[in-house]
Amino acid sequence: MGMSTSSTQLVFFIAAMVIASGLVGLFAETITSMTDGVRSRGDMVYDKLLTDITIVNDPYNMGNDPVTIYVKNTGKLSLATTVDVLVDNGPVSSDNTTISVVGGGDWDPGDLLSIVLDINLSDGEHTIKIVVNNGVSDRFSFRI
Amino acid sequence: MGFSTSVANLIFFLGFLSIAGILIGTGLDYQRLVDRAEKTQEEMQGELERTSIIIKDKDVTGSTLTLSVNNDGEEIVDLDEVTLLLNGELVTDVSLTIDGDAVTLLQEDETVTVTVGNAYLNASVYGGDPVLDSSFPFSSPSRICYGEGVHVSDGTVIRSFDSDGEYLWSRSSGLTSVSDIDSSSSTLYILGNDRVMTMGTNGSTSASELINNSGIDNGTRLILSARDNGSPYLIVLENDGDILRFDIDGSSRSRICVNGTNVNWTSPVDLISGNGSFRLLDGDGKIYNITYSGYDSLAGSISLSTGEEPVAADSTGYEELHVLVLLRGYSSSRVVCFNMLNSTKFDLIKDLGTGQTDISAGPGLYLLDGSDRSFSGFTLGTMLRIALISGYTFMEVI
Repeated sequence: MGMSTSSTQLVFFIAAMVIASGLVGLFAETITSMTDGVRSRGDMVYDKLLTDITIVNDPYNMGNDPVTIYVKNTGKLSLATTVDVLVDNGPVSSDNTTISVVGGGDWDPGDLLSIVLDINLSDGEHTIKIVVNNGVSDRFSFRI
Repeated sequence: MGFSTSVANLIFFLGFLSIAGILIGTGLDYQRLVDRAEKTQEEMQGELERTSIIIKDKDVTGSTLTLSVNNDGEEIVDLDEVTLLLNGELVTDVSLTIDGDAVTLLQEDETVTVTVGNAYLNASVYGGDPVLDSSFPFSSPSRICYGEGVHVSDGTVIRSFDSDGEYLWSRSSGLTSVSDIDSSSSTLYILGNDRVMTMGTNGSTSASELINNSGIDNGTRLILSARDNGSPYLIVLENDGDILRFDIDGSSRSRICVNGTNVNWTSPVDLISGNGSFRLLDGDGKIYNITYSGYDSLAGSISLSTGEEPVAADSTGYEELHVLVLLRGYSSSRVVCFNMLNSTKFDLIKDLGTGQTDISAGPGLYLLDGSDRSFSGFTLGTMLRIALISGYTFMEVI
């Protein structure tokens, strides 16, 4: 009787250990995933807050066909040069877009990005919006 | 059983304690990261708001532009990675110096010398509202000149206005067949068919004869062209294409170009003043360099569209290197800027009416519309745009 009670208690003990460990492991995995998400979100917010761009073109002297846009990295972080270009709220095809950093290299703080658009704009008011990969953007209005 | 439950509870307790620790740690890390970024962003914004620069002085020698830029803000200006555009074109040949030494930081109230090489400064226009409406009783005004006011002639009457189009005075006494006008400081020079008269630009004196009819044969255009370190010459274009040169007092008449003999141009349209020389625009859109002793060379030509004809021209900008040509087409007129330094041409103003009869350029640009009996004034200059690494941008017509 004493032996069987001890065995039963041992079985319960092991079962309780296994279940508790399993549950903790499961929670740990979920929590790790959650903390990764929070960290990732933190990095995104950090990047976004320290990212700034400024379109520095002269609105009185904009060429046409091609249209050249100069975007200065006025933030604190290096940026990817894969930007989205919208003209009058419509996207410009990458086939019609040539992007390069003036002077070469990465698009570091202070550097100028040259975006040449092979498009022919009609006479009148136009707006260009440049969006970098973390969603930060700048808008620029001019007249042809 | 009781022991197992206790151990299991302990494991759960320790597990949740760890999880809570991880979660709180991660949350605090997140907050610290965001706080740091927000603080940096606030500093960037504050720096931007406290940054200000002004241009104290400018100079152009040849194609080199030199600017004195003063930091009149409350921040040290980071000059590293400065971006400079002239009339929208990116300039890469820029040096920043203080007392000859290259600098990257500009302290408060300090002035940096910005030297731009190969600055082919083109003229641009900004604004362009009519400054005189069509209600003024002109009879088809044909000539306009700017200098101590805006002076307009319709052939028999000269009327003067201030630069905002406010009427000042008019004179008709002694004036017949006025074909052109030009001004030098306080004197207005008036070309008739066969003579040149003068009067004060303030209208206080009547016209008096400077060159009598023995000197000129069917004069069509007149300019005052600056000599180096001296008073300007008075240059007169005759209807047959000959060019006469007089001293400013009307003496020393010299026929420096005889069309068909030592020069051969088609339908000469206008004379264009220069610095140490002058130019002639002909009916084919060709611009000729002429020295004070005669023809020198072909400077270049304006491409004319079908049906387009040159109407008038004037020069402006540094060393009068920008020739502005008024072209009239079938349905519209335009002003083309020809840069004498690098022979580039571009449309300065487009889609004007066909009634444009004359152009006068100086610090500003004035266009006379003979049909509307109005003139329009434009701001003329080179647009400078500076962008700093902080995102501060500066724009000014220089």
